[in-house]
Amino acid sequence: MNIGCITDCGKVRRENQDRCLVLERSFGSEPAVLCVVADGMGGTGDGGLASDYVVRRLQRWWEQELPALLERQPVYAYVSRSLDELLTGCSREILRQSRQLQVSTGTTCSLFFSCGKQALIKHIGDSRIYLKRDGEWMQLTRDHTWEQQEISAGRDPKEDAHYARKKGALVNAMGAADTCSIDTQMLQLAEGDCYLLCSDGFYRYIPLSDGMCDMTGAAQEILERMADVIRTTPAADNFTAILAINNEPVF
Amino acid sequence: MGSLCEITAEVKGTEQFLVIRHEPEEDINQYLLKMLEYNSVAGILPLKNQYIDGKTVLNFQVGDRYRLTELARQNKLGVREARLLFVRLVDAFLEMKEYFLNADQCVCDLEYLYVDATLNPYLPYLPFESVRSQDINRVWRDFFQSLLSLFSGGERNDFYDRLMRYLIQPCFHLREFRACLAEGEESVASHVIPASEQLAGSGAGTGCNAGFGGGADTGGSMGSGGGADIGGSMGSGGGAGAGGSTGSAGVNIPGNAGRAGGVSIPGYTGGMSAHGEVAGAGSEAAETPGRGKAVGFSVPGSGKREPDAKKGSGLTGGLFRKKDPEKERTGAAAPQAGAGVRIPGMETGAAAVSGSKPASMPAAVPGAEPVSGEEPGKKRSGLFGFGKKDKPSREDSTPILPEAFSPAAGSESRGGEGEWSRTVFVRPDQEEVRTVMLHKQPYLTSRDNYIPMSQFPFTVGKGSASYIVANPTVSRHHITILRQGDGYYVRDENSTNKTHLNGRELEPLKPELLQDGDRLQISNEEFIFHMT
Repeated sequence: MNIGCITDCGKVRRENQDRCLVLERSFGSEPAVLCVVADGMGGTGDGGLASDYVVRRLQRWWEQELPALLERQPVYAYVSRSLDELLTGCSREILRQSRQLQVSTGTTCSLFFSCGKQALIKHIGDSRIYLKRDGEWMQLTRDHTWEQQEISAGRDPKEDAHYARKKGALVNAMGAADTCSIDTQMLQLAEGDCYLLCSDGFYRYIPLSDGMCDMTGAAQEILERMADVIRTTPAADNFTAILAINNEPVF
Repeated sequence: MGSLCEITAEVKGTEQFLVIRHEPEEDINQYLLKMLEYNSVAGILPLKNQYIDGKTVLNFQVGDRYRLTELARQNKLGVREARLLFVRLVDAFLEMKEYFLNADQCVCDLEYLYVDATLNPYLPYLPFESVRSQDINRVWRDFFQSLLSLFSGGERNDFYDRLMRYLIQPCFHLREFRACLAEGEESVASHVIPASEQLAGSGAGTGCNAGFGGGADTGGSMGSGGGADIGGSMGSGGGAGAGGSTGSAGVNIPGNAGRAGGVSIPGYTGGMSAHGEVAGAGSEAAETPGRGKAVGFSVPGSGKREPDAKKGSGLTGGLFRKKDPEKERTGAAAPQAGAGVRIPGMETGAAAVSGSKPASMPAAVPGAEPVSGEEPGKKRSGLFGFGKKDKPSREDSTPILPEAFSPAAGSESRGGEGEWSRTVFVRPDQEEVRTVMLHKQPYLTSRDNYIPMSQFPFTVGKGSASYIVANPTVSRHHITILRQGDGYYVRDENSTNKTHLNGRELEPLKPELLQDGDRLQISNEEFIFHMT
């Protein structure tokens, strides 16, 4: 895969609490890829602690645990289970330490893992994973926000008196509550697929429709162009994105 | 604050560890690190340090200890065990300052709480500058509340109620809680147990002495303490002729023929006959506020008892023996017995306790020679002159846990959602230590692909779905697989190119029962449904 990554503080925030991780290597004959976007949250500015923690744990998982998991069959069952445990454990640990240290912190996490002809997605929070296939962008993940929760329940969130204040509030994040819910998806890879992982500071300021985004060139170049577009906007939040383009035919 | 600590469970060699990594490296308090490395501190897992790529990696040795949450799940832990553990934990926290350790740097989380066969508790410790809790009393209160919930499981009795009445208050103080634990024990604690009948059930514990710590509860089933009553088989822990024992100290574990002077535990050598001696023949009891006379004592970390162990060395049988010659301590929580040591920047001991007067002890300075009271000829090595302590030998302790208990050896028992199970680290040159066991869940297979179904409703389609198919003939949301009780159902979502189950076209939006091995044809994509 051709992978690019960009992360920026934005125009308003003092520090960047987003973290991203891109790891690639070959395990035997199969190339494996791990892409992660984590958007730290926390009013006191400690969100970076949580997102940093998750990314470090996932890096350690990649280095120390994944090789053994890839030797087992069925691979994705073991990998999926291992990631569930890891993310759940991270969430508990972030919560425990934040309570002990009396800081307010938490993070989203959107993860894309691929080894072979399939890919695995793990998602918590309001960062997003998009798929561009056959010329069309699709949002694969569901936002864990109050607004989405209302929509999913069949209610119109705009009827709520406090809509403006509540619409972006997270209802599910790592380290924010005693439990967190992890969405799992799998997908078949196809040649030409573009996978975009991004934080809310990215997708709120860039329309992902053809014509608006020049998708020619390498993934990094595409992301740089997107970032330039964002910088022309208020860009009130940190923004982070990873773009992975699958140039390999999948049989 | 640099970063959050990484705590992972790893297997290194054939041993289990809780591995802690933290950055930056400068945040590590080297002095505390050495104290942990060279001393066996009650309440803290033994530490083996590693330096990997220039960074400190703390390996806290789990060894053959049990994680309390797993133990509680597999064995009914009763009031006696609860009392024992609470007391030992609180005493351990209160005693840590003897090693210049701050109890608030323990990782107070049930998931990291381990116990050995004698229910001595162990937690990992974070010797980092930046992890001092702003409100440790709240952290401790929450921790003890969780522990109480684990033991009580909703059950109510005097002991649990008493603890809960204290723990629901907004203010929490460790010493007050200790006093709360001690309530109702005077009638037991004041009963002096003959040395020959004493138990060393406290083992390497923390002043949980035979008179109290054995868990004599209000039911009175144990006239004197030491160890736990397993299966209600004992009338008196230290009593004579109880439960088949021949009048000597011991815990009668069902199925075991109590040997004279101890308990025979399969796999253990030497039984427990040393208990009578270990408990300290002729031990003196020390006054402990609110507790009356305590009997029995424990010397943590030493395999053998020193000649004057009966003087009640308690937890201070360490490098810096803080006992005042005029006052003896049993290792109970009361700091009044000795500590007057003040380390700049660190919390003081008894001097901070109102009403107490510091004993006339010289201040101890890290790196200085130990103060008086140290055993002459005691071997010391390592930095700062700290003596490396022997680990307590198993033979000297009375196991409290049923002999039948053992955590699932050679397998990972994975719990449900939310449980942090051990993560196996397998090095290339190491044989696999354990087998990961997956929970049984349904799955689909398609071509060579294995598709686990861990969440329901499970959707398949070419749009945003649980399983996204790269086939343009498949609808965006083609089918949904539903779970109802033990059954699984497939529903066609009014797809364009239809869905076939075992060759039969499904009616749109009408769920059909799925069975193991069923063939699902979604447009021209074929899947096989598997129940297990």
